[in-house]
Amino acid sequence: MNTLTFSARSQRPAIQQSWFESHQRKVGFWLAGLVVLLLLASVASLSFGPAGWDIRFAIAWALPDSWHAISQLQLNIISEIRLPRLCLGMLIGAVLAQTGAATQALCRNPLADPSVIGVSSGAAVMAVGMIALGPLLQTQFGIKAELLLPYAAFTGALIATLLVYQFAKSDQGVQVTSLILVGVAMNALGFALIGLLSFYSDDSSLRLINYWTMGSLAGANWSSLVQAMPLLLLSLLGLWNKRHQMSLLLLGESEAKYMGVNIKNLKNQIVVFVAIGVGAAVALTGLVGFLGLVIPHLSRLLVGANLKYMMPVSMLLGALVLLASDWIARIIVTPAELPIGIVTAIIGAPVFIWMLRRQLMPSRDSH
Amino acid sequence: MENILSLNEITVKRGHRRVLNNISCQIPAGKLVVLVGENGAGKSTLIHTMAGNLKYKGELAFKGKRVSEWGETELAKVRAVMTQQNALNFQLGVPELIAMGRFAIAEPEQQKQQRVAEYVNHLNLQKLANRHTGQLSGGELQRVNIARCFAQLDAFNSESESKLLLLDEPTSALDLNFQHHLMQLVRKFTSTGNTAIVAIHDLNLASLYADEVLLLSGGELINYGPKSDVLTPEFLEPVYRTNMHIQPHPDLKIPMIFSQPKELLNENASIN
Repeated sequence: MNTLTFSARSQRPAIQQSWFESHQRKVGFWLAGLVVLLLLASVASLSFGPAGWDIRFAIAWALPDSWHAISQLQLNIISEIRLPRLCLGMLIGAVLAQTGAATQALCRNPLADPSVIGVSSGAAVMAVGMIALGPLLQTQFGIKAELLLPYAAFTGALIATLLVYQFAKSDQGVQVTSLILVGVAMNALGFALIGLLSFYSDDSSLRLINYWTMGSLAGANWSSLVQAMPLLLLSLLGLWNKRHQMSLLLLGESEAKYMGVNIKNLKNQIVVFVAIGVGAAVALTGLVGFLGLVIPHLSRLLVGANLKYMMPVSMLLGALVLLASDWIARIIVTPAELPIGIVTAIIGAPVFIWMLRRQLMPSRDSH
Repeated sequence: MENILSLNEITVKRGHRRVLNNISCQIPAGKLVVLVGENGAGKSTLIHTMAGNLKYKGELAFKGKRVSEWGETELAKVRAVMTQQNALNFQLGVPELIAMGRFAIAEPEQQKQQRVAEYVNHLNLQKLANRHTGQLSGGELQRVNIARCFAQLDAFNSESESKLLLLDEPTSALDLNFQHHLMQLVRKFTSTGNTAIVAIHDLNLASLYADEVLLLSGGELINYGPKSDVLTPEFLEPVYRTNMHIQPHPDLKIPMIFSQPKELLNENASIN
């Protein structure tokens, strides 16, 4: 029977408030756990590497009093090689995961990733072009192509995004279906151009291209980090600020608008911040696949789809997984180093398939 | 009486097709208006247009101010819309989804949760409050979305200014009990000076609860007025291409609509 009597405002409704409380406890648990794991991964990342495996490295670095316990060389390895690499890894991991989460909200599709807006293939084409032209630039103009590479990649990312955006824009803001379709075309074109450039490259360039398209943190140093930091932070903070609005976007564009979101601005801003973040990330580390797709998905499994909770989890998890992958890439074939994209894809692909299965199979606990 | 919505020669095109053609009407505040019409008549388009989400020709004013001049946030505080789009690709907790309705309202977290709890109770959603959207049936999700819209307007707080609720087929997945429950809640909402415009296919449900009926067909406004003026065979038969018979409800003295397709009448005649 329906009761149309309306409860007094003072009445404390127990069930629902406890839902918010217990959900926040759950999110807090995961955040704390991820911070602890991230600390452990950082210690491991500082301690182990081709130049030596010793936990004292990390301890010594953290405690200046005990610097005498290790040699100057070892200290330099930590502060000039491993530490910038650690910072870069965490930042890039967080950026890739967060841009992935944002793209999925924008497309309202849990299977989207930042490459749908063409940003990574644009960066790749320009970077590969720079590598292919490297020998020519070196002999003709005395320019070192590898110094220009990050700038070329970032420019390529922005050009590709602008092109895709031009095709997909409408007076309602960017149209997501067009965005995805044009992005797909852009990616196909990008791969064709990369193939073409590779075809005309010499053997050493080819090797470099190969390495770059699979991503690596090996180029990390303080100066490149300092240059990219503002862009990476801009993307992180820009998207972080939009997390509540992006949550509403999950319900649909009209729905979000009816609840008070300026949908046109929101969509444009998501595209811009994703392009900046992914562009800067790709410029520094090459193409690191699967992270932007898998991490947000895993985070949703842990704490649900609301970006208010999912985004911080996603950032920490992205940082953690990239750090761990980089660590594996560094130690598994010492003294050589695997491209990190190989590690993330080898781990990411099976996880992704498992998640797909989980999503497509009817759940056993359904009512 | 003040008009909450004023439509003057509204035309909406999709491609070259006129989905709405020259619609003019004044909707006074405090009414429960039911929108009826055949499939494709333009009911959803009219709702989205009134909500300020579609381009139109003509003049459309909400509370005396052009809809295009309202800001999103400003509008979201006094106007809520429930669309037909129900499916969700993402799983959200039921209280979380209802809380999203309060996005435009700046309030402490505690108060937001309090509101959510109130509207969970109004819609009898207590049993669903610990589920997430992936675990809901179509009708249950519809009720949760209705709760979200009511929460957005804080619909049952009578001290507030006059508000507008637009519901696009809110009863399509509801059982009889919840159809009546919902319509009674909507009537409760309009009884305090608020306005609701509800698209419904069930003409008898419309007749039971509407103050006024707006009949659309093929993008044209056929008639708009008190339900007894609009729900007549004269207007309904051409729209639904079915013979209609109107008789007062035995207990309520409200017109009830009986439809009798020719085929059935012929069959019946041949048996007798």
